[in-house]
Amino acid sequence: MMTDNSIALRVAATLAFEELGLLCVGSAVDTPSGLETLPAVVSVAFDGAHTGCLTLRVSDDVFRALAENMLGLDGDDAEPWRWDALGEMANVICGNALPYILGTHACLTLAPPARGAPPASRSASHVELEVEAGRARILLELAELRRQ
Amino acid sequence: MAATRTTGERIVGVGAMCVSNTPGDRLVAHALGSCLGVAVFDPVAHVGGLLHVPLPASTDDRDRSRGRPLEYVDTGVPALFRDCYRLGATKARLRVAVAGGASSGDATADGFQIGKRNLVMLRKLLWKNGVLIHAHDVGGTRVWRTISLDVATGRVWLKTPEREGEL
Amino acid sequence: MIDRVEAPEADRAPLSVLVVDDSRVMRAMIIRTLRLTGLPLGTVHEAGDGLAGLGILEREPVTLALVDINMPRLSGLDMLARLGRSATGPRVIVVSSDGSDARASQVLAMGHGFLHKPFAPEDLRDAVLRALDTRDDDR
Repeated sequence: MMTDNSIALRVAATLAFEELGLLCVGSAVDTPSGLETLPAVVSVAFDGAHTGCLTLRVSDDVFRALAENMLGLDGDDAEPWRWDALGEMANVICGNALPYILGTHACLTLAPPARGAPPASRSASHVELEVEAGRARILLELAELRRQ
Repeated sequence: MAATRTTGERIVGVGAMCVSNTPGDRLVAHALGSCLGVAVFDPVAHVGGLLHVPLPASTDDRDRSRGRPLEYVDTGVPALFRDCYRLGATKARLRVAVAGGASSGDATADGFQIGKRNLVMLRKLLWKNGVLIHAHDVGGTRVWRTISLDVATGRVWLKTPEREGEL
Repeated sequence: MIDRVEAPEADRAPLSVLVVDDSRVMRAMIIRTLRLTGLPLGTVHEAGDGLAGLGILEREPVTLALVDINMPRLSGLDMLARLGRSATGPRVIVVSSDGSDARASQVLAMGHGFLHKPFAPEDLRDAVLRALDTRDDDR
């Protein structure tokens, strides 16, 4: 069953993949895909009224397609841009998901995307989505509300 | 192929396309649900075209798509542009208007999300080929649109059960 | 929603543009869109953070600046705050994934346009045309 946070992640990811990545998003999937072991992963840390980190991991075909679609390039021409494209996707998903989850008045600063992912805790919200023929997994770690 | 010709009105059916440089021609695609109506017009050459396309990707069914390029966005839209070029249009001058791509609103019946997939495929194709969309009325749920292009003026008209106006 | 855009005027003076975003891909997408609009583009400058962006603005005449918010070294909003408001300064469109009311209010209070990521290239085109029309009205 999807939690509210998972739904927000799904909505934000669908928006980002379809509008920016030009890749159609299908269903959320419950069965583990083994995506956790694939290397195409970036994370975006955030700070401010709340602290946490969003991680985006994608299958290889999605990793290749993102840069191609975002820049209108083919195949190997897009290769130098792939990590940047994935990072920008994570940034856009994070920026769109957090107001849903934390409220539109929460003021947050997003760090530049970084390759790799921090260790995930059991309390992390997550969703795994079909993205055309591939998959994407989004994980959100949220620290406790920071006292002002 | 276009079906009916009545006093300059040329109805473009599903999986069909019409290109014209005849002033007085009005190209029309009715009942666009998940289908896309893609209208293009070159205001210098006075060439216009309209494609009524139901499905996104020819690669989804290669056997079927082989003889039916106008039924797929990824093959139909290039065909539309090529036929316009043959009448003197250029890519830089062609203005693109799009209508359609609605969902049925029924998660079971619309499991393939055809309307959305049509739109994403169109946007990917146009972006890759350096073409921006000039006007659009797309998406939504259970929206039935009719799009028409006046070849004399290039004006595109949009009609739904609730409203109508220039696109 | 019916959306329609008017063709950009061919007789505008060439635009000098600055794109500030830490994502190379996003800068490339923005610049490609600008080239497809048909607007007369002069020099197009790029910067990967607010500090570099500020340096360009201090040295070069820029008509239009498209600025991200979250960037290393100096954020887009801090960059714009240091720049200040000027009647002869560039038109600014803040381009960001930040969907919070707080940010949108900050940007609008500074008198700048705001374009939310993700955007279609047509949305960027329309935002640029609105910004330039506003600039023309101010003259």
